[in-house]
Formats: sequence, structure tokens, C-alpha cells
Amino acid sequence: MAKTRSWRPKNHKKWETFQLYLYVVPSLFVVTIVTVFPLLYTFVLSFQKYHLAKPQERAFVGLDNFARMGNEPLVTSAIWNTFVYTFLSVLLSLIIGLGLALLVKGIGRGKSILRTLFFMPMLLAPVVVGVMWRFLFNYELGIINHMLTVFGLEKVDWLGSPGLAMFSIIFVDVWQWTPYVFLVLLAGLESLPQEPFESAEIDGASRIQIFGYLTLPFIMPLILISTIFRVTWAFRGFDSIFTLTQGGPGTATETMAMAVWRMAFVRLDVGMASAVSVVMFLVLTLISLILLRQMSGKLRA
Amino acid sequence: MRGRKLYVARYTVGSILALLYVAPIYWIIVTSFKTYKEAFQIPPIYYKWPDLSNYITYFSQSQILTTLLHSVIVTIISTLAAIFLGSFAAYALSRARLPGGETMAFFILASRFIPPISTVIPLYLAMRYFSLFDSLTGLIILYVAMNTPYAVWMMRGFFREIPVEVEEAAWMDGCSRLGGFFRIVLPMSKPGLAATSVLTMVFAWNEFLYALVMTGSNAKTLPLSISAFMGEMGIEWNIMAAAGTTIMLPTMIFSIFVQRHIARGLTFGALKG
Repeated sequence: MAKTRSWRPKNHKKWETFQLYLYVVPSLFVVTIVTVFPLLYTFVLSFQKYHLAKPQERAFVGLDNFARMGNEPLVTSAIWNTFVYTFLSVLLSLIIGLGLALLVKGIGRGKSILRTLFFMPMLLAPVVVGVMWRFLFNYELGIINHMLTVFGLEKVDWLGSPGLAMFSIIFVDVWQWTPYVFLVLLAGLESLPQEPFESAEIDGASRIQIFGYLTLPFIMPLILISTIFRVTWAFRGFDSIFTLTQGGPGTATETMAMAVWRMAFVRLDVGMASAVSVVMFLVLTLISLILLRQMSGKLRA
Repeated sequence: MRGRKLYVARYTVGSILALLYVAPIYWIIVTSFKTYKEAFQIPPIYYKWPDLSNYITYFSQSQILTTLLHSVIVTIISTLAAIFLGSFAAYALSRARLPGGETMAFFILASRFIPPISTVIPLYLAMRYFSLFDSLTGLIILYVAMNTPYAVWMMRGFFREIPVEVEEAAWMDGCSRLGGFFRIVLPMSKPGLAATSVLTMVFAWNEFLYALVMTGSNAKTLPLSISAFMGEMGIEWNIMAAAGTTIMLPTMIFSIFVQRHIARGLTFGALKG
């Protein structure tokens, strides 16, 4: 059947295309105005010395803010904290998420319920999750320390000691977002084609071999997608840390996002805060690009 | 067959893990029914018949009902707007062959990789400048911009699965493109729309950073109210638990309805089916 649209003259086709552009424009507009322009302005601000309490001293200072960052302990520890936090949170949630997905894969009845249960932490406001775990981790009265004493162990200062506080915020982030990895990987595992696995079993491959050479490559794109999202979300972590430790004790759990907030809205040093958030953006973009390149490589394979 | 025993073992372990995993949530809900003393009792009270006194205390705080209303308004309006804008864009971008289409799609989606903290300062200044600071409208605009990319992303995946032939059949009957969109494509994408709406509602309802920075005393939303409870001494955990549960409840209820399609949405269209 010839697909000539004789009832649609040429300029109707142009109207068609134009119409489709019109559909996209509003979304593009909103996104550009509210996300892209502010980002550019953040760059502009990062080159200025700008203190909200002293607006008359506002001046262009080039890369001064960036140079000063190295000497500002709040910033240097924030950068380190953010990397540790992001790396460990993402790694742990990948491992646990994959493990859970492998465990639950193929279960028929009741899978819906399991999925709904595992899904719940993701639905909670990170603020609420922070408050919830603050209650659970409470030194004197929290139920976790109570459980420890029941088993004859010492109470642990989850939120008060620097090392443990970092563990706690990582733990909470992993708790909340592992379900995401779990659901994505579960969907992937369950849509795997059967034949390669059957032939591998017939050929006598061991379970580890099957996993390494068949399962992993198949779900690698999904692992990468979930890694990208996890990294993006963990890197910007603010809400739960804000309620769980407020960046403390001291600056032990102060991530870059917390530091930017504190510098901008508590210290009112908008110039420096912008500089740090520029660094955040650049680092995150770099990591995302690396991961995306990995992903498109795998997708082509 | 070794399969049977392993299956039962996996089922059991999986179920136990799932229950343990959400135990903290259960604990908070139970705590919300307790009195202040009961919240810290040793040995702990693991089960209590629902007692809503804490909720009554919570809601009789002067600002809370208003705050709740704010959250509802902001969430619903920003979700509707984001889905509306996003669906149109997703539709156009899913019917390929649009020059520059891939670039536009990438641009919209990439905007979500910008950490909100990196734009919060100029947005704060802009909101003040345009008198949108401490207003619901300001928050709505921000949330629409935040959620539209997700809507575009997810709906594009769903739209791509609707074959063009179905629309072409409608066009041959004299339907316009727009009409086809509303009468054929949208109804066929109801699961996608449902999943996307739930996800964007959850994002908007739970959002904290922008709400924290962009509001003063007039336009507070619910997540702010719970952080406001955090003093250093004597936090009334039982009421806090009631507050937390109140914030949790709507999202949990909504998600039950669209649970099946969430997994697809979570990969943001990258995984089919």
C-alpha cells in the first residue's frame, strides 16, 4: 500500500513538524529558565566576592574563591566526606541490591508483596528517614542500642562519634536507596533470555561461570544505569544528613551539599558557596560522563 | 529436584529480609501510637493498638493543617503541570525524525544531573527579586521544572511502545494529530501516566531543600514541619513519629496502586517491558 498522504499537502507536513516542536518548547522553556540559567548564574557568582550581609562590597575577584577553597577546612573535609559517602553508599547498595535481586528472582506468588515491602523506603521523604534513624540510633533510648545490650554488647554512639557518624549516614542512604537498585536489577534479571543459560548448564558450566560470563554482561547496562542514578543522588545528599547529624559531630559528616548550604544561608558567603557548588557540578558531570560512556559502550556490544 | 528446596529457602529468606528491612518503618508507626514514656520503655513495647492522641496533638499545632494544605496544593498542581508539559514533549520526542530532537531530549534529561544545591543560590536571589519568595507559586514553578524532565523521560519510553499505525488509522478517519494524541495515545498509556504521576507526586511531596530555602513563615510545606521539631533537648519522639507517619502515609498508599509499573518507570524508559 503506497503511503502517499495525498490528502495532506506539503505545507501541512511542515505544519505537522512545527506542531511537534511546539509540544516540546514549553518543557524546554521551563527547564532552561529554572535550571540552566541559574546554573550559569552560579558560575558568575563563583567569580565574585559576595556576602549577603555586605552587599556593597560585592566585587569581581576571578578565581580567588577557588584558590581560597584549599585553605578552608570546611571545604576540604566536605570534599573528602562527599567522596567517601558517595563511593561507599553506591557500592554497598549495588552489592546488596544485586544480592537481593538474585535471591528473589523467579519467585512467583508473593513477589508483589515482597516488592511492595522493599519499595517502601524509597517512598519516604529523606527528611523523615533521617528523623526516623535519628530516633533508632539514639544513644540512650534508641532501640538499636537496646538490642545490643540485650545481646550483652556495649551501647554504640552512632551519631556522636565521627567515624560512626559517617557510617550511620552511609547506612541510612544505603537503606533508603538499595531498593531502587534491587527493583531495577530484579526487572533485568527476570527479563533474561532462557536459552543461553540452558545451553551453558548443558555444557556443564559452573554457577559462578554462568554468573560471571552470562548474567553479569546481560545486566551490565542496568547496573550502569542504576549506578549513574545512585551516584547522582548520593553526591547531592542533603536532606537525610541534615536531619540525622546536621553535618556533625564537628564536620565529620559535612558533605559538599551541606557545606554549600551552610556557607550560603548561615554564613551568607554567597560567592564562596557558589564556587563550591560549581566544583560539585563539575565533578559530578565528569563522573556522569565517564559512567555514561561506559554505558553506551556496553549497549552497543 | 534440588530446585524445590532452594526455592522454598529463597522464599523464606527473602520474606524475612523484607520484613526486617521495613521493620524501622513499622517501629515508627507503632511509636506514633505511644505516649512519651512508652516510647522509651524497657523492655520495648513492640505492639500497641492504634491510639491517635499523638496525631491529635500534632494536628492541633497551629500551623500544621495549613502546612498540610500547602503540601497538597503544591504537589497536585506541580504534578499536573509537569505531566501535562512532559507528556506533550515526550510524545513529540517519541515520534522520531524531529531534527534536533535528540539534542532537545538530552538537554531536558541532562538538566536532572545538575545538583539542586548548585542552582539554589541564584534561584533564591531570583525568587526574592520576583517577589516569589515564601510563596506557593514559587515552589510550584520550581517543582514543575524539577519534575518535567522525569515526566518526559518516563513517558517517552511508554509512548515509544505505542505503534504509529494505531495513530495513522485514526488520522485516516480524519482525526487530527492532537486529537489522536488525546484519544488514542494517552488512553493507551494509562499505566505509564499513573506510574509517572506517582513518582512526580512523591518527589514533590517529599522535597525539602528548595522548601527550606525558599520559604519563610508563609509557605511552609510538610517536610519542613518535621525538621522544625528537632531541638537539642527533649524531642517529643512520639509526636515526631506521628508527624513522620503523616508524611509517609500518602506516598505509601498511592504507590500500592501503581506498584507493577514502577519498575519500568525506574529505569526511566531504558528498559523495555
